[in-house]
Amino acid sequence: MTVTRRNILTSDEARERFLSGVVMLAQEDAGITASQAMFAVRSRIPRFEMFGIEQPLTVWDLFVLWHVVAMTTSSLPPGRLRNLAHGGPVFLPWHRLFLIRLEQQLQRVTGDANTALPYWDWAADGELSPTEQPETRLWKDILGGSRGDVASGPLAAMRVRLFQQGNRLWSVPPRPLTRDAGTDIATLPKREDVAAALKAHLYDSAPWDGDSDSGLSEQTRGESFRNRVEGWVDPRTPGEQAPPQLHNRVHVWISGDMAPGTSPNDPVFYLNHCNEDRLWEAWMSRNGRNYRPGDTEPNAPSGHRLHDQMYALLGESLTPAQVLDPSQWYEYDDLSL
Amino acid sequence: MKGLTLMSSYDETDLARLLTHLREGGIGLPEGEAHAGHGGPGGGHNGESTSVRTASYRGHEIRVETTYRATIDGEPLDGGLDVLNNGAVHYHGLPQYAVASALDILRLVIDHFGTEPPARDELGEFR
Repeated sequence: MTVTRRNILTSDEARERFLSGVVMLAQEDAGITASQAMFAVRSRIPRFEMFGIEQPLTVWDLFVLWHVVAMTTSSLPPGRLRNLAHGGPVFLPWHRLFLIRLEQQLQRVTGDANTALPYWDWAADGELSPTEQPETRLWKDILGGSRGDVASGPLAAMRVRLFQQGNRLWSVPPRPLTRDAGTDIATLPKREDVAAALKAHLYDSAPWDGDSDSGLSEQTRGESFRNRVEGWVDPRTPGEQAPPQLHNRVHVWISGDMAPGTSPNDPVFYLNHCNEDRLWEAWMSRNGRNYRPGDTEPNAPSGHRLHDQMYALLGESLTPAQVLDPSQWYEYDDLSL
Repeated sequence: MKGLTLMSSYDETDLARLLTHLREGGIGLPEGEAHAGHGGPGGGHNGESTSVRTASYRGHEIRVETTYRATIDGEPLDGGLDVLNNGAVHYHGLPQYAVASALDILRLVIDHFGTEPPARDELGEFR
């Protein structure tokens, strides 16, 4: 069934369904403990480790775990900032798969097949003053605040159990979500940043990593819509590496639990990535459902090619080719920027 | 399995199916190539990370190798640092960040993570 993803600020119904489902998943026992999860992952990735306390994990926690494992697993050949979900071409399709699986769980746990992920059009808030940006209705009335522990609203019921400290994944005593908006960087991306990213005609280019489209050498001058929206290059001045931009900048601006690899702890992770996915749809509406690299591209990284299976810890894996057209799962109410 | 709330109309997306591949450690890993630990050329071991930047310029090949040995209170930094082509420094533990200097990154590490472990390590007995 196809659902419609809507703006969290303009659709009361979409917002309530999402928040309700999030809290239910965050309280649903997945039937697996931290040590069991560690052993499961180690069965395929021998050096994977977890630290901390033994405790039951929720379904929400498992999505956090999935993100960390993908983020801390490399592909070959090595690339700057690249892993099985980030810093390379698979960034957008892998997160599309990740969001589809979470959306399906929201539909299951709410018993409502119409439940859809909403998006946060953060570039609209980026037009506000730096002091206004953390004080919008999104933070004050919906998400439980932009600074400090989340202690009000429905998300006050959520607890962080998996936390990445440096290079290590910890199972920690349950604690509230925390944010520190506007501290590590003062402002959100602006509409002109988004418009500039959309001007890239190529989805991605060699070296297929965080240097793509940086233009600092002859090898990195190819356009990369992916690297512009991921945020390792400045979309307004192609050819310059000036992170964090767009997606990265949203993580850094919110800070707190959005900073480490366990960022899917915070439901705003999904609002950010749903908007990233919407921008990808907007790009494809202009440029066609094109993806690079193909399967025979020289030096294309493993796990990032058109027909490579994407890493899936939960649910079935798909390839980038299988998710280029998402119409069997969802559509967006609005692709305007 | 605990926590199952199976609904006949959601057979394709039920929790049991969701967890099937978790029990196998996941699927879709590049065969024989994937390995754990924050990737990228910088790596990071015992606080030491090496980055290599290359460029072609006017027919010449430029190569710059940068090695950091980073400590906080004398303890090696956990995880690697990487240098982007424009000289910004990235820390794998803060995956969306890249700032002007390694000192700035270490300040962020202290701000975000402190220097104490976040929990008692009971899982050590399982490792």
